[in-house]
Order: sequence, then C-alpha cells, then structure tokens
Amino acid sequence: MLSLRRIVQGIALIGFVALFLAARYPFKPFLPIDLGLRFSPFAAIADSLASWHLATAFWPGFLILLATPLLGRFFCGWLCPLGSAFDLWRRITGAQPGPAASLPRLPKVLLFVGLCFTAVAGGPFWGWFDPLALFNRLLTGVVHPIVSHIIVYISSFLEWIPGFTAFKRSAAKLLMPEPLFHPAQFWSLAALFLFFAVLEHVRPRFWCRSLCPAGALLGLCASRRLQTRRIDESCINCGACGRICPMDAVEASPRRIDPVECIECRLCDGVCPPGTTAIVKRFSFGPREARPIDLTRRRLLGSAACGLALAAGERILPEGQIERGDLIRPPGALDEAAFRQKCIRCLQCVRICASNGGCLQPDGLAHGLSGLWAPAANMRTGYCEYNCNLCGNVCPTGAIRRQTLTEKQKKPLGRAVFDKNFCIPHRRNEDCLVCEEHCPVPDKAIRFEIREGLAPDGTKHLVKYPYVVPDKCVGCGICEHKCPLPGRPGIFVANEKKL
Amino acid sequence: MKRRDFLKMAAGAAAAVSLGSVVSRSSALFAQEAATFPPSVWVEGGEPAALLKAALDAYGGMGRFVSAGDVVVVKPNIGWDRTPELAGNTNPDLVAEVVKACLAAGAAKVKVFDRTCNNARRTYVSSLIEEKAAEAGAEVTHVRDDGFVEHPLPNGKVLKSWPVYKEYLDATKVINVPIAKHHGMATVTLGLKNLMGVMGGSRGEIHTPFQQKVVDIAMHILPTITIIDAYRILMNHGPSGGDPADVKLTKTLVMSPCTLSADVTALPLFGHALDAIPYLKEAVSRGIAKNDIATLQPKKILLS
Repeated sequence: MLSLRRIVQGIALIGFVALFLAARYPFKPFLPIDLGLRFSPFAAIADSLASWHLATAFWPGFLILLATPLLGRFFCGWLCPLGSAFDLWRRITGAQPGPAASLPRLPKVLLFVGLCFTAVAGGPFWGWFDPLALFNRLLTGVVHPIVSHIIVYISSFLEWIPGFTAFKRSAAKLLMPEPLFHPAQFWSLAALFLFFAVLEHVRPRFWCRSLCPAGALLGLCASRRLQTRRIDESCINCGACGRICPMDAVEASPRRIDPVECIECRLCDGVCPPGTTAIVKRFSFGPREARPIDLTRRRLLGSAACGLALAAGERILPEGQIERGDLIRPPGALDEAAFRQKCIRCLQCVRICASNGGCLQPDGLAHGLSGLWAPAANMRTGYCEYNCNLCGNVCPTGAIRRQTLTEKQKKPLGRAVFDKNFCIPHRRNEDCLVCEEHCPVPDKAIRFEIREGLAPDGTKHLVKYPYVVPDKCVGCGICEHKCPLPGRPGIFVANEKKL
Repeated sequence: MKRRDFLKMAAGAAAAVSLGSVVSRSSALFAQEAATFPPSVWVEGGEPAALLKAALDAYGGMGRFVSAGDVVVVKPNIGWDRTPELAGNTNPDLVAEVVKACLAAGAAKVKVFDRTCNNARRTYVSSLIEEKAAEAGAEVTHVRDDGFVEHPLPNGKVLKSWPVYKEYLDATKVINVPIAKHHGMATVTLGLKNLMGVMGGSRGEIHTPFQQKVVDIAMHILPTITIIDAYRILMNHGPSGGDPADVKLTKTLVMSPCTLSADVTALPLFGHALDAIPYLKEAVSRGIAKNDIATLQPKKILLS
C-alpha cells in the first residue's frame, strides 16, 4: 500500500518535473514556470539576506518556513523533489546503504551559517547549494539530455509501425522532450550527479542529513516544534524505530526523537511490537528534547568567518578576470556582480533557451570560480532568437529581468565585431554576406558597401564588404553562429554593451 | 551540348512526357495540347486561393502535374521567425491551397518541410504554415539533421556532390513554393534559391562562390513546378526582413513547370532585369531552362 506520504511525494515530484517540461516554446504555462523553484526556504532566506530586502518571489518558501515550527521538517520528507529523488533512487537501484547512524549532522548547519554570511556580504556562492536549484540543475544538465536522447533514439527504430510517426508528433507537443544537450559542462554536472548517487549508497539521505543548508534551516526552525513526536514510558527499548529511521533521528539513550532531524516520514509509526504504541504525537509547549547541536560559539564564528572570507575572496579577483570580453550573459541579465549573486544556477533559462541547447550553456571555470554553472551564451553553437524573451520569464530570482519583447530587442547582449583577418570578404575579396542575410534587426545592423577588390587571379571586381552599425546591433550572435568559417568566426559578439 | 541540340532534346522529352501522360489523362484535358500551355504564367489582383486557381487553370489544373498515388513534397520558405505580414516566409494560405490542390488531384501524401534559418520550432509556428498546411491535410515535419544523403552532382562545375534531404529526393512530385524577396547578397531570392531549403551541410559555404555552387546543386534537384508567392513581397532588408515598411502588397503569383522561367518572369516585381542577377544568369548559361529565356512570353492573367 502506498502511504499518503509517498503519494504526496510523487505528486510534488511530478509537479516539479511537469513545470520543468512545460518550460519550452510555444510557451503556454499552466502555472508560473518557476513556481517549483520558489518553494525553497533556503533560497528565500539567502536571497533576502543577499538583497537586504524580503525576497517576496519566494513566498512559497516562506510559507514552508512558517509551517515548520508547527509541523517539523515535513518539507524534506514530503515535498522536496531532491529528497524524493533520493528515496526513488534507492528504490530503483536497490541500494543497500549502511546504517543511518554515524553520520555527522553538523556540517549542514555550518554550511548554512557560512552561506548566510556569504550572502550578506554579497558573495555569489550560496545558490550552488540550494536543493531545488540543485535538482533542477541536474534535471537540465544530466537527466533530461540522457532520457530525451534515449527516447528519440529508440523511437527512431519504431517508425515502421503504422501511425507511429503521427503519434510521435502529437505526443511531442505534450510530452516527448526535444533533445537537449549542453556539452560544455555535461561532464562536471554528470560528476555532480554521480556524486549524489553514490552518496545514497553510502548512507540514506546523506545530503539531507549532513549537507543540505535548507535541511539545516528547517531543522533549526523545527527544533522547538509545537507538534512533537515523542516516545513515552511504555517503550520496551526494542530499537525498531531507530533501525527504520532513515534520518538517524531516534536516539538510543535516552530514547527520544530529535525534532531537528525528523522529517515526518512516519516510517516509525507502526514499528512498535504488538501491544505497545510508544511513539505518540503531542502538542506541547514544554521543554524540548532536542539533542544539542554541537554548534559551539567557536564553530559558529569559524563558519561565519569562512563565509565572509569566501565573499571577500571573490572580490579580490581583478575585475577583468571576472568579466572578460567573451562573456555574454542572457538578455536582461543584471550587471555581472549582481547577476552572479542572484543566480542560483537552476539552469531554467538554459532549459528554455530557444536555441535548444545551443546558445545558453552552463559556464565552466573560465570566468572565475563564482561563474561556475551560471548561464553564458555561446554564439558559435547557438544564438539568441530575436523574437524570444523566455529566459527572463522563467528566472526565479530575477537575475535575468523579465522584459517585454520590445524591451529585450532594445537591450543589447553585446556587440558584433568583425575580425577582418578572418572574414571572407575582407580577407579574400569574395562575396559572402551570410551574416548580413541573417541579421534580424529590421533595418539591419550588419550592412555592406560595394567596393572594388582584388581577386586571387589579380583582376579587380566588385565585392560586397560587410560592416556593423554598432548602435543597431543587439548582440544576438546569429552572425557569429552562421558564419560559414569553421572554427574561429569572421564576426563575433564581444561583451561591449556598455560602450 | 549546343542550345539547338538541347532544345531538340527537351522538345522530344516534353513530347514523350505529354504522350505518356495523355494516356492516363481524362478526356476533358485530352483536347488541350501540351504545346498550348504557356511557358509561365503571371496572375495578378486576387487572394492567394484565387491566384493559384487561375494559374493552375492556365495549365489545365493540378492534375496535369500530380497524379493519383503521388507522394508530393510542397517546399515553402519557412526560414524565418516572422509573421506572414512581414513577408519573410511563404504565404500560409497559399501553401494550404497548394496542399489541397495536390490532395484533390489524388496525391497519396503531401509533405511540407523546410530547413529553417531561425529555430524551426519558432518559424513553423510564427509563419502559420505548420497550422494551415496541417489543417489542409499535409504532413508537416521539421527537417532532421540525419535525414540528408550525399547527392551526386555530375554536371556540377565546382561541387561534385552535396547532401540533399532524402524525403525530397524520394518524392515522386515536388512543388516549390518560394516567396519573392529582396536578398542582400543574391539581390533577389525566388524559386531556384528556395531549393537551398533542402540542401544539407554548411549552407554558408554555398555562398562562396555563390553563383556556381547554388546552380551546381539546384540544377540537379529541380522541382516539378514552381509557384512563386508574390502576394506580399519583401522589397528591402531581405531575406529576413522584419520592417512592415519594406513589405509591398502586390497580390501576384507566378507559376511555371520551369523554375528558371518562373524566376525570370517574377523579376519585374523588383524592377530587375536578368543581367542584374548573376546567379540566374549563371543558371541560364548552364542550359537548365525548359524554355528559351531570351524570348520568354509569360501568360499574364489579370483578376478583377
């Protein structure tokens, strides 16, 4: 029998993935596409700390936070898609992790404290650790590319079945994912995926118990929860509850349940041997039974100092190191420093990018550690569609501003620049103009002049030489993308929007 | 091959084809001799459906080109993420009418596709072609990267082979439905250049040198008929356009079984002569026209 919790977990997980799948063109969302991501209580707090304003976009996360002192860490056990994915992973793979006990639970609290201080100081790293952003990141970067390619590959063998192609086309409109693949950071994200998969084989819910800053936050809120789960005097010390608890929330002696770790999974509800029901739920304002978190003043100060140092260390980097000329952010992105701070690397913008895995890509370490997995445009493999503003429509934090199409078309991502040593007409005195042809600006940001040029055989003939009108260029990069030169293009988009 | 020989051979081939089709054709059409059909038609002054009907009537109906059981590819221009009013893509109503005419003529299947310049998911939707052609009964698909086969070009000057879309090559009949547009590099884009939409590989490479390469490929994959949509034409900033001020409402359609004749017939739309369009001149010099281009006499039809 499926328990109520499993059903809720399934609905939450499917809902989250459904929103992920609905993030596509044609854009007809049944709910705000970033709604799932906004359930994160950690992002709600960290984003508020970082911006010094209440991050109202994360109202679902705040609701979770408000409910936690009453109900405990129910979010982790019932709603969090990452936690559900861990449970599912153990079920699918038949993982036999070691006993739940003997896993330090302090790191997540230290991580949470440190990241809060990083956020306050304007540092950009906290988004990496948000569990929902992490889930979405792995979905975009690893799971979806693999699953969609497998589906497309298998279905290519089934086309001989009468009517299958028609079925596939209609299914594709609703379900069938279009293949996406972001080669640049696939391997780093795949490594991240494997890391979490292996963790689940070491201990159940390793991340949730030891590392998750949202778990720490919720645990701290739950430490004085009103509706408590406790073990009363009828307990015969059989230890069954301790063995079944995936969170190691049951202490052996004295026998009690730790509200900081309990995720309300209810697995211990029926484990008492026949004749006893020692595990009871009570409303109580009395003294807590929480096992103390060893958050000594020294450790607290230490993690705060590390968090501040992380933020400060980022600032020490010379500016040129962070914002190089080849770094093009999505249309409507905040200024670089603010963008890095706001972006939680959920990769929702990468997912919805009309270039289908071409243009927006999770960035690597080329632009500093704090640039890791933040979206950057690669115009050689894709380009920004002139009539598309979807990335700004799905950003949960506002790191990419929500812009109307008209606004987007006026705000350049960068500027196209000719490399005349490479460009075919400028170097070989031959017509080409592929860039001019594709330029989407109605009156063309790439134009051409007709001049006499020297042909390779020494004769003179008329050649169309392209040039850029800087004020017209929106930096969409279709010129760079379509340039017929293999490898290094004759025109490229430079990060020059401020000039 | 001398022009005289070519014309003789073309005439012979035409006679053989018409003889073959005469056998299968209905008695109503029997009276109309192949020789009386115009080399190309120019229809002006109507909505896309009326324009198409008038043009087809001048040739004795779609049944002259499409027979029962044919698998027909209708190849419009769906290249750009533009709405029909901006004249970046073929008029969707015309595409739908062509699809209907093919099905009415007994086609077993009508396929519509184009290798797009902007993202296909967007262009198929914003051009309205996906919606209207599918409604008319066509199978509308995106071009697949793995759907191209290397096609030999025995008469190519520069290229000896190029990847071409397999479904296009496999079709028993092809109806080329370009839109007449300005083009920065090529000056105009019409029927011959529309065939780039079934060419694979790096199409940017076809641009250098454009005249030879585009003709090298196109001459080997010529369609059954070419129907040039000139309902709205793009006069400047083509082929992508985007400014309504560059669009001219001309309510015209040009049709010919000969792609080159159709293109040359459409040139007055832009006030150009053949001499101004190097790639069309190159195509004429290769002898791929089914009519004598120098003395081409298009049939002009004026609707109300």
